[in-house]
Amino acid sequence: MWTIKFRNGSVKRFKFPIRTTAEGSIKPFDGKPEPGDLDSELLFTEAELKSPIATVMEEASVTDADLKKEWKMDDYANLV
Amino acid sequence: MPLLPIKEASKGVALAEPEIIEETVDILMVGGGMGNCGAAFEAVRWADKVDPSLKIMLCDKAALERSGAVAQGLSAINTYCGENDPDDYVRMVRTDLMGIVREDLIYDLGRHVDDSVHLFEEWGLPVWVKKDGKNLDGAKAKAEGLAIRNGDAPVRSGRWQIMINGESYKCIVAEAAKNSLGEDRYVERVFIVKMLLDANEPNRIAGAVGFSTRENKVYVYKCNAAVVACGGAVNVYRPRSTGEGMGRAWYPVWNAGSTYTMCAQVGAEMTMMENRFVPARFKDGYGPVGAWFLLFKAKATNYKGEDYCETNRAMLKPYEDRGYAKGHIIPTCLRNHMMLREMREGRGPIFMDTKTALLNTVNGDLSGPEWKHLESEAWEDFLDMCVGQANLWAATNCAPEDRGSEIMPTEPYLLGSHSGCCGIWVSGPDEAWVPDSYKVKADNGKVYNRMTTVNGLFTCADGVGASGHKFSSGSHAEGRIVGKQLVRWCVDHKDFTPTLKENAADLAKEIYQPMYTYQENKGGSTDPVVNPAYITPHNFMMRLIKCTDEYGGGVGTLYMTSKALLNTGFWLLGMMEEDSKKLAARDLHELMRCWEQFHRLWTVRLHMQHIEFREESRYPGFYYRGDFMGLDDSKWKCFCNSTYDPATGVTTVFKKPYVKIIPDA
Repeated sequence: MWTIKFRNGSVKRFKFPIRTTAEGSIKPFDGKPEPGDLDSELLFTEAELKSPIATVMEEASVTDADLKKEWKMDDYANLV
Repeated sequence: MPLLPIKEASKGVALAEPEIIEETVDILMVGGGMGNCGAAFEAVRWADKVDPSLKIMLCDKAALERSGAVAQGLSAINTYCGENDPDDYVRMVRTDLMGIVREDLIYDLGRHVDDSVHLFEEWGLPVWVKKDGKNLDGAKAKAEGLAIRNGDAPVRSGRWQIMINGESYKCIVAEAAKNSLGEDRYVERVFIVKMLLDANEPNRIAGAVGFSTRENKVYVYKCNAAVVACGGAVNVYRPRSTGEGMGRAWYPVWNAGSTYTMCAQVGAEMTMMENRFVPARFKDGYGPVGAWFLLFKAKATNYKGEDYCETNRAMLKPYEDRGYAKGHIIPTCLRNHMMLREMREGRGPIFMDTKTALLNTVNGDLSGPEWKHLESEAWEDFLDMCVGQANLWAATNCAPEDRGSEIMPTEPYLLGSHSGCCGIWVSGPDEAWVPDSYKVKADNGKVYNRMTTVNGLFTCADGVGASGHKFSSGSHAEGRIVGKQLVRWCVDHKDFTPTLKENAADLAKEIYQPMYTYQENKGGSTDPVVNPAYITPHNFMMRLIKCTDEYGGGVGTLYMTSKALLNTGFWLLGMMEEDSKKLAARDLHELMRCWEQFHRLWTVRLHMQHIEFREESRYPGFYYRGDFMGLDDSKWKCFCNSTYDPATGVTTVFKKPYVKIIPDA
């Protein structure tokens, strides 16, 4: 139960559920499927893997694609 | 007679020569937030099947039950696809983040995320269910036998968001992770501060080192594979909070950029470190606005009561003309962009019109049971995830049905899981639809999903760059992806024996250097916080955030910077690098604070280096390059990546091609 008291003295009370199972009761693997193929992208609880409905594969071209900047610790002292 | 301050008893655990604990594991998990809770859950299950001898260890700087960004709770899960295709999820994220994102990673996350949400509900997280047009809270839904994992309708606040009663969200997820691991496979209050490379194989992770924040112990781990997931970066820019309010921040203050710094320092390629997130939130309390905008349909208005997103519509045109801000999504940065204009031109304060929203919802009737229900929902939004905002409303006699509340863009945050996307470059899944340039080939020629460019080093959640909008659920799902890959890595590298370059005693000396610095110099002044030979972590942070704020585009300049301003900042940061070697700690708490400052300095400097490199304003409203105010696709429709070479100490920032995978709708 939350109690909120305002500067002007008015009081509000609220109560919300915080969990629906007993604390400490989680058994993470009970009733879960056995893991399958280690080399697939499926998580152990999953049976189906989606892939995109459609793809375009457009690489954006930019100018100065090879632009680079190197930073060494000694550089900083000379910047101002 | 009053004591001189130096004679005050230390407030934390006293420092002493540390005991060194050395341990060899197969899988090391650094961080205990949503990401690694997912990684633990998945890795244990696969390890149990394929090789139960694999040794797993998870280290959390805090305590799992309330660590990470979800520590305080949440009132919504922001990524739940449900009836939506992951393709549309990619389109939404791409639009919000101004076009340059890793669509493979986002799609991959979208196809797994719902499974994590269903697990949360099963474990005991109360998830709201819609029944006959009414909202049932998670407990009532369960009592009626309703659950979203069985196909019942969630309460959508937006297309991707669902409502929960999330005060104990992290406790529940942490309990599942702990029960998966068992008592012996995690340690709490151990702060890992450096990742370690192998002495024999180049570019190969071999371990990590850290220390206990409760006892004088240094932990040196050797490992075959590691995942680093310890959040984003907070207090790298001067916060708006001052004085008694300082420490209040939107994102958790314990996120010190450790993920980025530790991975970058061993050579991991970084991506989009110029990106940041500036959330517009309820002023001072940093209360969430999502439920107000989405669930209650409230409007944000200037002092005249105008919806500034309407009156400033023309500001979007230059971006729309270039193909941005299309569809129904106005990118978060552009919404800030419009708000900032109002503030600059004196049309603030900006208010969330809570009153109109609430009155409209109940047709003006504040006496019936519908109002009681609505009022409760409105307050729960804060009480579940941001109690301080509820406190501030009460302290200022602000009842949302009586008056609106001010909202304001906060200081910048660096993160990869919310509406921001800085982080580490990782491999996408090894599938035909993923471009080759997005796959990182490991030493054995194989591709390991979410592996960084360092062999055996993985990351997830806030760590993975160019892939925002994961939020809590997506971070957990991404952790699960990594959990499986860690096991796969260990099975494929069964014969690897990690060999550290450094010896444990030297590492311990390095970690405890701030203690020695203090011990050697404490006689130099009568006040322990002012000393000619050392600097306290608090003062170091103040120095750092003043510099970044003024020169790196913080709130002080309304997020404006330029090459000249940045250079002045770098000049100061160069001296702060020197000063960082003089950080001093009086107790274990301050030792933790010292290491957080090393991490902050590295991370925010890299952020500014990336901003310096990208000569355009890609995210107006998050930051501006005053010397390049436009958005320039011809030069910059690409990722900005960087690497640090641990052998030479050189950081190189460069362009990396962006590939559009998912077509426009």
